Amino acid sequence: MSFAPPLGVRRRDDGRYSVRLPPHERSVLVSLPSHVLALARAGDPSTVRLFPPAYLEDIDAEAEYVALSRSELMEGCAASLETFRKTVQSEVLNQEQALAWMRALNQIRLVIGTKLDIQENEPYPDPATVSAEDVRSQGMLLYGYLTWLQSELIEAVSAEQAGGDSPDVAE
Amino acid sequence: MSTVATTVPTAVPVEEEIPGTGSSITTDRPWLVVVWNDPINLMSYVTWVFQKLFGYSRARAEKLMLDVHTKGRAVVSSGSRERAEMDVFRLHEHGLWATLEQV
Repeated sequence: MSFAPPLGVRRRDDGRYSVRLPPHERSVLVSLPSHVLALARAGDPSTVRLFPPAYLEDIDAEAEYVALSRSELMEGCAASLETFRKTVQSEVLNQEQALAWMRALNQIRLVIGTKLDIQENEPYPDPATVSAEDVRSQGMLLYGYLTWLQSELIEAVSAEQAGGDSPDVAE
Repeated sequence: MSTVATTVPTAVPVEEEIPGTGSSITTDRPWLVVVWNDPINLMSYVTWVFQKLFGYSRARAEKLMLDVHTKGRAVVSSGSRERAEMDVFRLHEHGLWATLEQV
């Protein structure tokens, strides 16, 4: 008998990331990117946080910013969601894939959190007591799970980042 | 942070638009990049984004993140309008609620 490694995301010595998740959790994750992308492309109100305003008071400047940035934001969003969907069954992620997971999970959380009208530090319901009819609590459980998984990625990636402070100028 | 007090007019006369300039204000004053608090983005994620995009040390990134968290907003960078707008765009790419404003 051997001990199973902990679930979650860990940085490996070779700079890649190991992802340990049960199959039923991955099968939930795989359905999310296409939903979020369809909502974003349809301009659904729940995706408003994916396209924040840059100018609060100058509506001409804001219109110009939207015209210049919207399609690129949408493309970036679609790219990370697609990478996440394609690699959701992977046991190992490279750096680029791990960053795509982080962004995709954040985008999914922004949409679900907006749909749920989540409040700061709102407590998660107890899974044992949530009924199947309680849609909001079910949503909170999913949101809480995604929060945990994103935290795992942040911790794993930050462990690598702690070594250096070079800015990301490649974008 | 879900509401922001603004003085956005509901309509502006079309004939007064000056394409390309955005507004009549002078351009020599620097532009500030402001990140606003929100209930969804994780504190650790915001810290990581500040480090990644701006090359800030972990301590400086955490200080800025806590400013956002406790004060509702924080200035995270400044510079020319083009530079500030690019920073805002990169923050938007990462899902943060960022705006720019002139000093």
